[in-house]
Amino acid sequence: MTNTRDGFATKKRFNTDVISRYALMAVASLTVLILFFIILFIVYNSTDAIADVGLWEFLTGTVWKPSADAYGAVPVIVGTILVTAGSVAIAVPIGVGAAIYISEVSSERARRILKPAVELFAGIPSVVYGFFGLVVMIPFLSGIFSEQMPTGFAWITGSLLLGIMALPTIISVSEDSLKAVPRSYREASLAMGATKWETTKKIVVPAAVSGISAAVILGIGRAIGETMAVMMVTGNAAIIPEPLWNIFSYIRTITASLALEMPEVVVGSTHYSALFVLALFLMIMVLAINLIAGYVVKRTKMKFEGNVSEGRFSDLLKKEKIRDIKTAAGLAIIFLIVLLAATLFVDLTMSAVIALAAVIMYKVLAAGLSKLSRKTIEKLAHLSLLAIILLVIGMLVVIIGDIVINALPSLNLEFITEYPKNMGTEGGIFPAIVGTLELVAGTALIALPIGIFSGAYLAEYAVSGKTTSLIRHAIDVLNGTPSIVFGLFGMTALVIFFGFGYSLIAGCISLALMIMPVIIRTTEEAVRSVPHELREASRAMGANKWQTTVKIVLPAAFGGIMTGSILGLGRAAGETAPIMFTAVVLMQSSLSDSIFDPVMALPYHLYYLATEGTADPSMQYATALVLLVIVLSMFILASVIRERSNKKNKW
Amino acid sequence: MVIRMNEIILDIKDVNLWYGEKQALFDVSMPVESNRITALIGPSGCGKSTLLRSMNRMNDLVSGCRIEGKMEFRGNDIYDPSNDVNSIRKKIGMIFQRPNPFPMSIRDNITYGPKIHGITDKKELNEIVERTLQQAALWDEVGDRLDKSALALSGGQQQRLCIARALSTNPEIILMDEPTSALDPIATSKIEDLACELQKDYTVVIVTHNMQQASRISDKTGFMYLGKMIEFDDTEKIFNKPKEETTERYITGRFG
Amino acid sequence: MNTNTKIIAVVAVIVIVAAGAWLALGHNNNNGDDTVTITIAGSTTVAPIMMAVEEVYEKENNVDLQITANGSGAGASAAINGTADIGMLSRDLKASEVESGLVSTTIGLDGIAVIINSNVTGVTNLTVEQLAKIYSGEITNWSEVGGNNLKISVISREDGSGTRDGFESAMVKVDSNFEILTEKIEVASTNAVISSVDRTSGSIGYISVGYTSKIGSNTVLLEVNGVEATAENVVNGTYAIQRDLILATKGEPTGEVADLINWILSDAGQALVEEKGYVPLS
Repeated sequence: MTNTRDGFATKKRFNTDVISRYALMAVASLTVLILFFIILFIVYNSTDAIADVGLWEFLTGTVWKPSADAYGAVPVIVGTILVTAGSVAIAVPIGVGAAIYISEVSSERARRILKPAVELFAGIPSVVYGFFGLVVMIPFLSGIFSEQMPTGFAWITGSLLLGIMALPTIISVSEDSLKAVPRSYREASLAMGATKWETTKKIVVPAAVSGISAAVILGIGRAIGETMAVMMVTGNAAIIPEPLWNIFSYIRTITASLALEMPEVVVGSTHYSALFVLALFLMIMVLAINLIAGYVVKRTKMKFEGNVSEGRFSDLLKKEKIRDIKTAAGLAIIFLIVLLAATLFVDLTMSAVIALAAVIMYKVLAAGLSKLSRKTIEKLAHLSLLAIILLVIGMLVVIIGDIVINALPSLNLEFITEYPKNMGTEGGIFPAIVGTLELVAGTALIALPIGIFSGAYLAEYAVSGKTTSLIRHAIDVLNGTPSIVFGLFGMTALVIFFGFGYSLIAGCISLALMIMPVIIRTTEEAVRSVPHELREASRAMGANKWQTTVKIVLPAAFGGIMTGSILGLGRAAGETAPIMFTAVVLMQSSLSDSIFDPVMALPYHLYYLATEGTADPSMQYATALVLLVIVLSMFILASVIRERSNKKNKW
Repeated sequence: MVIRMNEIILDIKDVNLWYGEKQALFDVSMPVESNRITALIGPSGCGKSTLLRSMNRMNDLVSGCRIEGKMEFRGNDIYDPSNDVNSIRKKIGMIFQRPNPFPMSIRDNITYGPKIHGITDKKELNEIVERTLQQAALWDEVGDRLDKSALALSGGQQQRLCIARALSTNPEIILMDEPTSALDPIATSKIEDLACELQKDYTVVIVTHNMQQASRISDKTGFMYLGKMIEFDDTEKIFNKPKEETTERYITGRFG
Repeated sequence: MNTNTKIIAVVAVIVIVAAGAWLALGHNNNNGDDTVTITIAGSTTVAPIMMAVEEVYEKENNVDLQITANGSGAGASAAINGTADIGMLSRDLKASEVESGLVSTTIGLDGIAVIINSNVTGVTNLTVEQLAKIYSGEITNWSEVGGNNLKISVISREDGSGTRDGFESAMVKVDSNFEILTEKIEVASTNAVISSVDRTSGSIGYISVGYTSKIGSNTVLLEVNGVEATAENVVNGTYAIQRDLILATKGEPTGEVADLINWILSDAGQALVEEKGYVPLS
């Protein structure tokens, strides 16, 4: 063995590490640039309407009728808040309950089925939810409440649907936080003789409260940004419900306004600018939610860890007398809610009676419950949680089962290989399938390189500082941005301003912008979870940072990166709002042959068939099924890759 | 027994090191002789790992770490800014406390280093794989399954693989940071035998928590305490006739 | 993850991306390299005519028609914005649209029919005055116009719809203060009105006469002012609610667009107009 006696090499002038650091920083900064550009575009285009019409009119006017120069946005702002609030009221109890069941009560075997099932829920595209709402929920609800809402289109329908859609987010994130509560907490409680339920209720859930709050807020964000599903089931009348709690009233959200009116605006008109004002309001709401989320998470974390003195007010709350007032307040709230709900069905006096009865029933129940043994209480609690999880799984089964069963009559080879005929009522959906695949491919080509390298930059190279902070904030905001805003941006910037016209490329860019934050985040997480020892080993052998990143770190993170990418692309495949105004046409007799031509796409085709209502229902179902199959198989593929790479890596 | 003094391959002179505001090494000096096994012992937190990691500039990767003094590898200060740190690490390799093979095949683990440094010829790479696995006493056990994943090996085998990997870049010094503390006794003794074998062709510096290990295999020992090199001498002298009282108290187990 | 899975995943991704790229870029469809694409957007009333035209016209000429039906307002805007070559409208151009440079060509006439859900009994005819009162919210129960005791669920087209424009113009003629009520369901196409009325108890809606053959089994076609909603009655002027069907272009039509429009004005094109249930130009 030769023992060479060379000296060391001199440091190269063009250091790969320095170059790669700046190159990656540039790529990651693109996200900031994009967000900046989008915000600039929105603000710039909204100034005309603000100048012509006045912010006052927008914020206080109650009539939205652009054709009559009326731009009162109050109904749609209120509509957005009410629909979101309703969906949260439904999704939070069910979602958190389901999460508690999965994390604390279910067996390991059950958990292995339940978790992926919940994630499958998350994969269902919103237009499919909207379709389900239109063909199943609306007839069902209008049958039950035929007097209050003969048409079935209503605020409650929207909130129910949105609530179901927000469930997977809330369940997943809550379950993760519950699972992350250290075992030692639970063991300490059980060792003192507490039942499992008492441990769950008093120790585990409070410990996970910051994560659960984050989950709820994420769910809210999801609901606010939803377009297609609400558009299909709320009737879209821009009115303020009368009375304000009338859940059976028609209602319209900001997102629906944007989607419905965007095709009709002439560039440069006041109406055009007014839509950007609405988009601005929407973005402000989303930003506010994000900020509140961050604050709540920080505070609740600090509180539980005892880092925050509670302050005089909460000390006050703990005193005995105040306890009684708290119970009284609780009763008052129950009375009020039942009263308001009852007024929708019967007159005021009757409602008061019913409300009173409800309060009495509650007190009796509470008294009865307190007499039960702790074991029985635990059994009851677990049973209730079981009921909740069965409800959730039941919904999933009903939705998917309904679609599969009703799709079968129309599902044949011709359907998949033929062009649509007679305005979609006959023939097949071949061009829509091709269009969707083309959109996914194009989106992948744009979003994956930028997203993966940005994520790698953030995980490996970024130093805490103003630039990195800025980049992270930009990514968070982009992540919370409703998909319709990307559609608005795509239409006005790409289709019209840059003159791409309705085209595949415009659609792909819009979709890529939408999923980039997801890719960046999952890449960053995957890269971060690569153990430090591997990097050390590589550096100790004389590899520089770039070599280490490319040859060791990224390959080791491959599983996580793939999972995130596929999830993002799955979402892109199912989205309607970004492509509705940038890429799609209703009918094509032949496939487009250039990226500057429009395409047909499954989500939009489903929306069209469903709202037209003239095609055979089983054709509508079959379209929904084909879309579901494409999207869900991507989700399943992502799950499988994640499982296998976790096993192989063993760390 | 006459112990000749070999050439000093790495001369550590008056090294001070800070992690941010906190100083971790105080005026540490130590001559490392070639083809010897030098052991660094001392209680937790005494700075022996810090010192070891300075020898191949791994501390560069810790933000806020600052070093003063010289470490001359054959007269060339490794901290001279005009030196390419990666070529330094080619010559001074490292084995870590927990075995950390890459999640790749055994072959790919070993060819990683040579490929980084420009060797592409397949024959040459294969030769390196066989040679280093032989040197690490692992060839007999894995020679027929070089393309299987390295993660499938036992802990002791993984550590020997890491040694083979470190040998692949033809280093002159091998630094070992508590290489056996995560291994069972049988694997440990295999590694110790290996270190003694390697000594013939390489220089070994080993940090160890295990005094018996140091006295078993090393020629020179440095005892460190609170960031200072308290005593550095022939192993035999350190363990039988230490000059400093602190050394004696550590050796006899009065603190540790 | 092991090498095999990795390879499969990477190959799968490459295949999908390559296929997509091939389809998007290199795909040569049957029409040949010098096909001209004409984008047509707008009225759902006019769309069936254009789709029928597409089937016949594309074969004989080297054009590719891309059609989207999202309402007259959208059609006008698309033509103005330049995102469509032709806008279809089922109303006349507004002053602002003419100012923005649009030029219209009338290709036919159409009446607006009124349909109700068959749950409503005892109503076979409504006057325009009654329609105006229903659509302004003054009349809210079917019993007020001779029907059963059932709440009227009002269905309307969206704000930009030409059909809506035509309908509201007829309302304004009998009540100059007419304003459509806010508590109504808005849907975005004629087909959507048809399916909504069909499945919503007590509902009323308005559609193009050209679509009256498509109404559902739970839907009843009303007479207006005692006159049946047929193409003949639109031609002879007895039917009370009608409007022009137009194609709008930015500036005078030229090139293939002009050829297409001229063809539609020709006997062959007008025959298609009539075939679809509308009134051709005489």
